[in-house]
Amino acid sequence: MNKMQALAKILITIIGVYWLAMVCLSILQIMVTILPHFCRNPHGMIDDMFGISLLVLFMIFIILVIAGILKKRDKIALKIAGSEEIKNVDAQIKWIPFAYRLVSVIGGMYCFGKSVGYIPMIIQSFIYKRQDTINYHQMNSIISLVILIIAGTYLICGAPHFVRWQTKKTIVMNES
Amino acid sequence: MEQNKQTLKERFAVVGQNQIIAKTLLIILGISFSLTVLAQCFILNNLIWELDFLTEFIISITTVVIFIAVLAAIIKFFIINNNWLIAKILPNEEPVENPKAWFTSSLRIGLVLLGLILFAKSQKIIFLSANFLIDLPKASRELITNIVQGNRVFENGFPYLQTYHLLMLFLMIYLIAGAPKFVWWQSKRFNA
Repeated sequence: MNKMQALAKILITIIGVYWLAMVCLSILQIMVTILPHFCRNPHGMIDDMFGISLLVLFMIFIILVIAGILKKRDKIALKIAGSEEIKNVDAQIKWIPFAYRLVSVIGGMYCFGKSVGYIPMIIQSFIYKRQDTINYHQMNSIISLVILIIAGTYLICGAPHFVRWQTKKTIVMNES
Repeated sequence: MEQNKQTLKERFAVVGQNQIIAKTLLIILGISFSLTVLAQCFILNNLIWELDFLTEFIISITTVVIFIAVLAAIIKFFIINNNWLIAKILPNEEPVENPKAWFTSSLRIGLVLLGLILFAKSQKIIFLSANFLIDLPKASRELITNIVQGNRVFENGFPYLQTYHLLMLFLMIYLIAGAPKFVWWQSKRFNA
């Protein structure tokens, strides 16, 4: 494992553990939101159960994604930093795409972690503000969640087009 | 005098790899602090909309002057003249080959990361800005009428926040695009 791969592995591990902790805190927040309401009105909760289960399942999916990233961090670091044979880390031309890919993966993990924060908000609005139509704030939360998931997925995959474009632009800027 | 200036420039020149990283981080921190100050200024203006026109006007002008002074200090010490701060943080280093290229690349990468973090933190501004753009003609009419009649500037405090959201959206897009003009300007000033 060369210097770049080690750096990528360290960063992925730190950020992954941080976001895993944040997700667990969010689950705690959901429980704090739901439990008092459930104790007061257990029958009313059954109507909301489908929506809540869906969101909880989504949250479990995010935990699995982050856990998967942490488990396969060696492979991901290898993909970000390139093959094992590249020993010359000083070559700037190889360093730039590596850094952009690392930045993309970190940004993606951040997006995934942030998306979890919207789930308690959505659940809360479903439970406490029973409405037939979706209001402005619910719509805002749902759109934010969708944007974060789409952007997060693209970035965690290494954002190939974005990395290629930025690398090209950086090299052009350095040459000029 | 000219020779003294030259010696100072040489003394504070950023040439080592760690120094370049520190310079990049200081610039990114500077931008981040500036955004926080800007946010506070808009939030304060958003809170005072309930006051009468004159009081709102006076408070707005005072806060804007104070915030501009703080912003100017941050921009000067973190973004424009940060070499002396780097000289204080880090000792002299072995010069790296082609430091300007290293600085340009690392600054651009750092700014892209800042843009992505801003996006993840405040992506809801995309939705809010779209709303604001739709409401813009109505808000402009309201602003002109209220200024002419000497009423409160706005019926509520949202236009201040919405202007901030719009600014943030443009900044976010610019940073994710790699802030080309800013990086070019910084590279031109590098060790100059």
